[in-house]
Amino acid sequence: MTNSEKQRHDLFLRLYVEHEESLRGFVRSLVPTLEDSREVMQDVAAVLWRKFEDITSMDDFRRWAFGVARFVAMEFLRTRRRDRHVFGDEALRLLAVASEESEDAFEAERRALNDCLRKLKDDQRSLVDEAYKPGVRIDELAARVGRSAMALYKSLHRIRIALMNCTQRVLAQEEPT
Amino acid sequence: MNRTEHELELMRLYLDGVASLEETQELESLIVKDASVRQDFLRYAHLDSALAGVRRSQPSVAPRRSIWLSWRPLAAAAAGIVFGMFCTSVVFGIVGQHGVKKTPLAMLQPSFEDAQMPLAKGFPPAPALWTGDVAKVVPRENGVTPEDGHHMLRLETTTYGKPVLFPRLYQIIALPPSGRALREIEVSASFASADPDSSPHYTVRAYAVNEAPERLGPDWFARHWFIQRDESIASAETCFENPLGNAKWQSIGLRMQVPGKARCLVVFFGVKNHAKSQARKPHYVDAVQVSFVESPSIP
Repeated sequence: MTNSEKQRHDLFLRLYVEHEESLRGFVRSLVPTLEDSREVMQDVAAVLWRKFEDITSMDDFRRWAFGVARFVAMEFLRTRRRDRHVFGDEALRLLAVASEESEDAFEAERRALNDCLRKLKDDQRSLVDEAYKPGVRIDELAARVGRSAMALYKSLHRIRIALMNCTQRVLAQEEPT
Repeated sequence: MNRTEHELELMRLYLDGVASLEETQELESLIVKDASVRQDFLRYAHLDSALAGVRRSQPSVAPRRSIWLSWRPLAAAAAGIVFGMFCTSVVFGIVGQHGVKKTPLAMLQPSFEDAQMPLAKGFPPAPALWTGDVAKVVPRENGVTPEDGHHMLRLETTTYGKPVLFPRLYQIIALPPSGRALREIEVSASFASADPDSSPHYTVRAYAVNEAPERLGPDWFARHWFIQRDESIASAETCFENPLGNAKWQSIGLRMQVPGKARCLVVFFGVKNHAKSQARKPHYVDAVQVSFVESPSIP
């Protein structure tokens, strides 16, 4: 690797790290199931690096990265998850635009989530810890804890809603008066 | 959030991968027509993605001379742990554990005492070298006194178009062979900021890989990092948001179980300022420790 390649690589990493969480959230909005979105993100990172030399202005990195993520996600769904029902082009375009525009807001919510996770009850926190471990299947987890998969899905849904409301409250309190 | 139960349920069904064609079309129609639904759907997806970064946590031991109790809320101190955002590990525990044996791993300049220490940019070309972004070994400056010894590492802040600052630091550490199935490793470092009005995130990450030390380097990094990072045989991350007004050193650490076959540990230390922060003052790292940990067996 030459010096210029190293510099390019270093610049890429910096830009990627800066937008990684936003890209993950965006990809998650496109790809049904968390496991699939994890897989898509690996492809997204690889394609971004492979195509990085094509980008002419670093100011365009964010828009370009979201475009690549959208393309990779749709390719994944088209070729490997034909059984899933997914959104059409216009919805995807609007989601990409909104994701870019709200990147700072989502980052603020991720920060606020830290406080909100601490406010969960022990059993809620345990469920989150277990359900979000890589590779965990909800049906298997449900069998392990003696509940139905639907009950766990619903519980997780309620926890997510509570966390979303909590992050809004936390951020509202941070707003300067 | 002013969403109906039905709208929220549609979002859940889609993201859980169980939405029917009709449910998908209904949600899609809402997303196209209503910007507030679009925004809340993205919030739901981002939250789900963020929760996936929260791993099951386990406490790790406070590095020496930890001073965080001076400002840590009492409740958290009593619990002994505090969870970092999107972190795999607890930031650190409250007290040392009796009978825990620590064996430091050989690494370069854990307390940055050599003012002439070279620091290359990017990913390390070989083990036992510090690399990263613009950084310099310095004595006391900007009101910050080294945490360990007479020097510390100053991490400069640079920007690329917007004020999100993320100076980083890497080192590859070769792991000696082991016949044991699992080994426990503790990684810790102390961070400080020259700007008490900023509220940066301090991050410690570690990745164990099977690759031999001589096979790691920028080329390997370019080819494999993103994939290895998710598929490394063991990894852990902890982060901590430094409260506004705190100018003291913060010791942050993690522990991870590493398979005996692991040949290398890549350690990463980073600082990230809030997106809206205008701070340009440097941050400092000192007192890095990477050790094998042997805990006493439970009687």
